[in-house]
Amino acid sequence: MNLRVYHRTRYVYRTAVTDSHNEVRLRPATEDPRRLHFFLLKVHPPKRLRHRRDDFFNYVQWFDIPEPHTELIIEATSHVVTTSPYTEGRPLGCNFWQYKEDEASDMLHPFLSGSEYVSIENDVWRLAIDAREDRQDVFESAEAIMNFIHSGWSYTPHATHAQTHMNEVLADRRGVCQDFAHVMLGMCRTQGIPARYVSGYLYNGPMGHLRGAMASHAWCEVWLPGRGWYGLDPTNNTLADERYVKIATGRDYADAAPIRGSFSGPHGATSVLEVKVEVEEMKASAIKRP
Amino acid sequence: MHAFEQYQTDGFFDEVFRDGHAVRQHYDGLIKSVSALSARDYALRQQAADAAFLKQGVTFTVYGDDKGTERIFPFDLMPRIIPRDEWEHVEAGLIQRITALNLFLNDVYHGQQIIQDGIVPREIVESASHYRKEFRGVNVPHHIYIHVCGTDLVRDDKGTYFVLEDNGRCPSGASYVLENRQAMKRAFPHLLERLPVRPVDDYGDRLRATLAHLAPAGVIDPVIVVLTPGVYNSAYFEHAYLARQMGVPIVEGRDLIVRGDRVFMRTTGGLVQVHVIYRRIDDDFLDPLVFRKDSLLGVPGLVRAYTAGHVALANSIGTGVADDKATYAYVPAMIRYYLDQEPILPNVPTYLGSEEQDRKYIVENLDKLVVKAVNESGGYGMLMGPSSTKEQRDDFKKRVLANPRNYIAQPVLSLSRHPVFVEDHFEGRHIDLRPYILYGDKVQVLPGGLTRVALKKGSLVVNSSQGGGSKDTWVLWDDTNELALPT
Amino acid sequence: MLSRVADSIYWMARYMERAENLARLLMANQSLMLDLGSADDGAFWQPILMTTGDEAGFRAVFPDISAHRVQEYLTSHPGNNNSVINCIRTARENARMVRDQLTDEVWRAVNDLYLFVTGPKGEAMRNESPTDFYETIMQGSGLFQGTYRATMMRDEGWQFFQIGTYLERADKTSRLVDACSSVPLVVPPHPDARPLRWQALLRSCSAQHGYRENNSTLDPTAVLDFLFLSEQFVRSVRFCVREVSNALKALPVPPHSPVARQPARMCTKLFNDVDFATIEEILEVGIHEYIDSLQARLNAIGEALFETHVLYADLTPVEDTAPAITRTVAPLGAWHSDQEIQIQQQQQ
Repeated sequence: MNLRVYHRTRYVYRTAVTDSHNEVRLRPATEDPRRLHFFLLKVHPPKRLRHRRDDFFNYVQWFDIPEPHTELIIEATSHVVTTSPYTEGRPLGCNFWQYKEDEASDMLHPFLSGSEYVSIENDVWRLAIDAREDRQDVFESAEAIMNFIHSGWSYTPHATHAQTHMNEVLADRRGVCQDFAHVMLGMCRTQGIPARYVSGYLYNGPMGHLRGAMASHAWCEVWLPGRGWYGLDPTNNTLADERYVKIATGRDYADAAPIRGSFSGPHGATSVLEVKVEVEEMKASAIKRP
Repeated sequence: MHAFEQYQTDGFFDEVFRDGHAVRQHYDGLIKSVSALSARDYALRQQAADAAFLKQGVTFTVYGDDKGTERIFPFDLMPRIIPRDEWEHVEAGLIQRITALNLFLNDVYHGQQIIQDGIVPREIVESASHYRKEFRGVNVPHHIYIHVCGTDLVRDDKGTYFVLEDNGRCPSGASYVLENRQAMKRAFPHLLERLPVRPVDDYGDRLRATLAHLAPAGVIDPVIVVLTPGVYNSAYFEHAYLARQMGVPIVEGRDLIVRGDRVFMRTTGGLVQVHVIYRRIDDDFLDPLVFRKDSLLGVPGLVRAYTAGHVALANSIGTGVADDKATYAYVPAMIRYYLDQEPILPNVPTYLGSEEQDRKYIVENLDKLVVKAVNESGGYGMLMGPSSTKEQRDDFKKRVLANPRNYIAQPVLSLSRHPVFVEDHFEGRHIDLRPYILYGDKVQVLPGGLTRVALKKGSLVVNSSQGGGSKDTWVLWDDTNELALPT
Repeated sequence: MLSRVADSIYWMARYMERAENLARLLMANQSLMLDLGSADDGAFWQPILMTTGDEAGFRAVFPDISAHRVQEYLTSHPGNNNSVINCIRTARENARMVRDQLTDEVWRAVNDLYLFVTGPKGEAMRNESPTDFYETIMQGSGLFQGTYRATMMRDEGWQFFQIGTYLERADKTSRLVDACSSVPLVVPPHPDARPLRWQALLRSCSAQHGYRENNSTLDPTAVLDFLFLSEQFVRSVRFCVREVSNALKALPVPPHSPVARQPARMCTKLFNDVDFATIEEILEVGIHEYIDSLQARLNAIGEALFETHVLYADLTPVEDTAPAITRTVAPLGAWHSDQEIQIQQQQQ
């Protein structure tokens, strides 16, 4: 799909703040760079931008604003062509024992352990066992976990916040995509399925009903031995197909958050955080004539 | 019509024909339709279009001509078509470029980091005739300097798009884009119905929205005006046209007055505060208190009102430093510096008179280069090396050595060509493209822009004042689209 | 509406009306002169020069009066700003200033007339057949008036158009009467001249038909009554002043202006005076004296209009509102502040 994404974040401070240092992960990640037709980040106050790659090979842009300012706007626009990894059906046929022979196993270690927002304690393991029942196929197991979360948790905006730990979500059984992704990560990891957090966008279509299209979205990817990463979205109980635009991945939200930063100013200086996300389809290529 | 039978591409990159005679896919429908007409019928449509322009008063005034003659801008009926992929590439490059230019302007009028980091030499910035050092430290609304930009693009013999020039002061010509489309609708209504061409008619609305974005904080329904030097200006038609498209008043300097750092227009019902001025007057004439004392066109006190934040100007003051022909050479470096990206649209290689090595090269290779005076526009003060006489070259050599900062040189590009109707058949003529970019809340590019044609056989100069004409430019939506197609 | 635009529309209307009146005056008198035969040029044309208020200008250019010179002076002399051609030129210049505010039809009407009178066709016609020339101008003016009425918005610009047209017309009608009545009553330049002159006056005002419909004989008092006080005749002083008064009342008033209601007040007063006047009262005051005072009042209205809506519109006091934005906010000293973390957006 040919998608245009516009993501704007605006901070307003009660009083002028200084020495702001910021890192953003807003550029769509594509295996093939030609699929990213356009990407531009605009910052206000205007600043010089630089970039680096982080530990998870995410494209990170950073900028500093030393002078006093009362507003910060970060605006990313991209045109990206997405594809689905599921065009040939669901990747069934992977067994758990295949992980032992998987060449990538060293690289996968971070995605099997607990992390800042994800716990792999006993209660999580217990839930995952319940969800998985006795499935032996890795992908089917992951799907079952996704399904389990989707039916057992209620999508409730404003019940949680950006720093809510998965344990709270387990207890309250409600939250938003970020929370469900964390829960799914924990459950998959306790079963030995390497799972990573994905930050991105979701195209909902003009008449869509999917959740998470109004802000930036999050879902999970699980590693299938010998095949690679496959995305699943517990919030919508769908496979992450070409409607999903991936920006960054990591162990959890802490690694992949769209914007991280700090500034010098009094406690509680931020009075407004405003986020606007638009994902539109641009019509496919090929000129047709009647 | 067998109008294309004798058509020769002469080894140039032709927009329509590939490898001599094969029609490029995106021109297929157009060529079929045009070929179905008789030459006479086509010529009649061309005449009807010309007559319509004259009747509408779509004219410009030629300077340097004592009579101040009004002429129509010659219009060639056969449109230039840009396929979607190609346009997306161009659009991406333009957005990247205007973003970098605005960052550059903000920087040179504030901390000058790019100079301190040695990316752009201080002399280049501070010797630019449109650099306004008195303007340093002034904050402009949303830190945007260039709101309306017209960037001139050309294609070389391989079809690669190059940026030839940025026009970040008062770029003109957008009205011709709209008028050309109207002319096409009259001449070929069915063709436009069948092809999925992106519309340009909403330019007025978009321009208005871009301007409204600049209004001082707290103003809900800003009063926007177009400021023109007056009816005798060569582009007055365009000023009035755009004002009408936006539904805002067109004013002259004498209609405005500054009171308490606010700008008002004199109306029959008293003074009305103005919030945004789309000015089509150069910096020099804007405010006699700050710039040229003898300016009768401007508004005394306007600059003070602007720096106080009570009125917004589009474009801002001092943007000329960014479209200076010497600064141009540094734009790719700016894109890398500010955006940490590679330029999408390349520059034409440029030799600067101010750089010793470049200057030497220029002087020694005048016959192979196009030499341009930095501070003149519209094809004035230019030497076309290969077609120049020895006398002209000697003259330019002296000029370059006397004032090196004022000259740049570029290799002669073999510009792409497009069929143009001549008497009863088509011949190839060189073209360029000037898209219009609006930088407001979002950055938008008017699909297509003004395709200018060098109507003289073999000429590379497309400027209206030098025998250039224009064409309608069609950017295609890629697939059948309900907007563009009849049911 | 921009004051400059209103001003240009006003002057465009005035100059077009002026050109038309002048053309009609010249045509009517040329025909009169033919009737009079060997009339003394000086005595005949001097009052006409007086009517147009151009006698001094004429004397500066020409040593003495002759029919040909007066006609040339009033029609095409470059040194006379109020010649027919210069009036049309000025009207067209004003139209060009506000070209984008006029409909294409109106612009064409003005521009075509201008191109005609300044072009070779107009020049040839002026020399060969002055009557046709003047007639073409009156037709052009009629086309202008008609297209203006038929195509323009009834907005403020319309009111200024009305004011310009009718102020000029009232002024011209009264001047014509003044010139005609100033011809010595006792010793006419020719025994038959007086009735013919009144006839020419009616024709100069395009009033002969209207007058004849209401009067069987050519009686000077009745002519004066008709030209001053007719309620129906579109060039009578009363009719014109009423139109101006109505248009002025329809204009928006600039707030706080010390002279805001001045033009409408002055004009309404004038209209009331004219409305309740009788021709006998006017004759008692003396026609010349009456016209002098009338013209002074018309001029005062024109000036007040300019002052209110164009010149003094600037004097509107500007309300001192709070500054629009505070551009730089003083930062807290770094020692007062903590390192804060940018709030993160939740992914939903």
